Amino acid sequence: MDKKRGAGVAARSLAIMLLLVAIGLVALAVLNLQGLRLLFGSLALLLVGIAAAILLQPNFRAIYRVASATFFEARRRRFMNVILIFAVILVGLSSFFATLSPSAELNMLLDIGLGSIRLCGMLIAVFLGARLIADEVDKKTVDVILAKPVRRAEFVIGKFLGAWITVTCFLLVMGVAFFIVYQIKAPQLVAKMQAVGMALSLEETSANVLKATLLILFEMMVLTSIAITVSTFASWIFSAVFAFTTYFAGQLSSYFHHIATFNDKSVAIINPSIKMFSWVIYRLLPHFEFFDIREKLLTHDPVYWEMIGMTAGHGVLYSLVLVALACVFFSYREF
Amino acid sequence: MGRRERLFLGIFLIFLAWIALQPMDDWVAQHRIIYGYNRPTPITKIVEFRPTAVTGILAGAMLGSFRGVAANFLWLKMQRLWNEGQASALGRTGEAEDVMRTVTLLDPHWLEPWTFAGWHYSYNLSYEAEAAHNYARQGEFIQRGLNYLVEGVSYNPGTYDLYFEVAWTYFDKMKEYDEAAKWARATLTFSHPEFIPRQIGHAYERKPDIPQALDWYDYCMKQNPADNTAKGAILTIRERYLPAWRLMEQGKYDEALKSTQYYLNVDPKGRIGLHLKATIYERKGDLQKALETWRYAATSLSINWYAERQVARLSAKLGVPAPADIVFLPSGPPSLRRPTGAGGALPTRPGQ
Repeated sequence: MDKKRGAGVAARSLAIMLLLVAIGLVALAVLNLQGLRLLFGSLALLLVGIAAAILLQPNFRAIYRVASATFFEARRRRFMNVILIFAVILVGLSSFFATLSPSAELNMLLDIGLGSIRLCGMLIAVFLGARLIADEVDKKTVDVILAKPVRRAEFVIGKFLGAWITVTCFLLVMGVAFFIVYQIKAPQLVAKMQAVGMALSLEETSANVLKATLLILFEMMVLTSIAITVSTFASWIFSAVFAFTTYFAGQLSSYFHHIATFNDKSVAIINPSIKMFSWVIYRLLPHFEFFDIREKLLTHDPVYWEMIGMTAGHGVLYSLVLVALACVFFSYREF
Repeated sequence: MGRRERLFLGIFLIFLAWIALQPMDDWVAQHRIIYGYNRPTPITKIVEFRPTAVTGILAGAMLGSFRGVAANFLWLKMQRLWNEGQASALGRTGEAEDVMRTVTLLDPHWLEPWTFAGWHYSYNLSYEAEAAHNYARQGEFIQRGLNYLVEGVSYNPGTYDLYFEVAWTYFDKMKEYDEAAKWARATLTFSHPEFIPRQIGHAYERKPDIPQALDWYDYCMKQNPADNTAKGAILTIRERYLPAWRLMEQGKYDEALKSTQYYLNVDPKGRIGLHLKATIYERKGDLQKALETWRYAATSLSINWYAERQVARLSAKLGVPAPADIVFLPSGPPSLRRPTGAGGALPTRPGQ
């Protein structure tokens, strides 16, 4: 017994030490010493993660059970299937829409196909994320679950994972549908463009489509985490509206950044308070435009895996921070 | 540790993680700009508070990647308006114009709407205005088309297409040969068709700036020894215009004029010959004769805005009013613009 207690004290001490080092690294990242912000920030995040895992000692079995139950339950939701059918039809029609714009068929195909996946993915992520926890609370089924050896944080993490796996499956179906349409239609369109002297290859364009779909997946992860976080303390309608608003505002993040860093003194409308407000908004908002590689898709330039990796990593970490916040909110919520 | 303390500690740790996330955030933002994933935000449009631009840009940005879909559907609407003839009738361009503008702002990196808008104003509508003998309106349309194209370049500085469209409009419609050559030269930094250097040669030939034209045709021959157009142009220039140009440079103006006149006797309305003759007169200092030659070039050839601008310029230099039958685009410096009178409209060309 003493041995167990001793191990517990040692683990806690280690976690506290890691947190202190993480605080130091964050301070270094803020000061940007030697231009190593990225390294310090990433190390700090890693240490915070390890410390949280040591302190919380999550029950992975419980998380897995909640996640799988969420996934199987979500599959049965009728609105999700309606959205999926709608998405597949829309993706299928992208080939038809492409023919309506003879000079930009390939771009139209990409725009409508990927746009449909993103639109329907967004609807699924928001409505699913917003309703999962809210429904459990409204129907009081949450009491039954929490009466079992499942901690509130584990419940939230399980719900988030279940929701994201569901969104992933739906996106996969839409992605495969689009890829089939794309593989049928694209070769002739690419050949047509090559014939007029444009430098592009089918392999590269297909790889870009795949990367764009992958980024949509991580974009939806962030969106799901926003919807779930808000739904831990608000109604599902509010959560959905909040998630949609954040999504559209997040697309404007570079504008906020430009205003915050705008230094042309001749433009009087950019006063310090507007700049400060823009800076805060820029820092708080998730940058959904990071997941948009449409420019490269339409110009048929290669999209590098390094960028995909960093963007996806950023999305995962942002989602984890939000889910951690959701765990805190939900743990202190009174039913 | 109490419940409240644990809550604050949890929030503090999340805050810490959020700060630690910012360097990665900045890395992605910077690299998106460096590698062209983000086009420069047209912030000036916002701070200028141009209502249509602000709405379009914000709507486009908020829609994220859906803006392409929205723009595509609006473009289909534009095509419907076009097929119904609503976009081509002079003075009834309202809806089509709005749709076209919205598409360019929703998706400013889609080249086709810019090209289409530039061509529609500079060619279709300007032709309608010309057919109605409303030359002021014609000039306005060409200028509007050019404005569209130049604005398109500001959003798409990294591709060849719109630079060339601007160059071609300057060359073919405005007859601003220096500007045409400048914009065509800009396309050379990108992957471009073979005819572009030749196009620059044509612009200098028509101006005329014979040495520059020859340089560019030589360049074409070095790029492709089988370029028969450049070869033909070099032979023609060397035979017809180079001797006169060299004589002019040596100060032998009368001999230069004689040499030019030799070919003008065969083709009295030859554009390059007339322009060269006027240039020689001008270098000689005989501005009156230069004015007459430019005026002849302006009135005897189908719309020659370049010659008309030279007439206006020389008239102003000589302190004489520009002839009433000369109509030129109001694109030069204000001192060269024709007074438009109370109605604000330029006179129409008589006899047409």
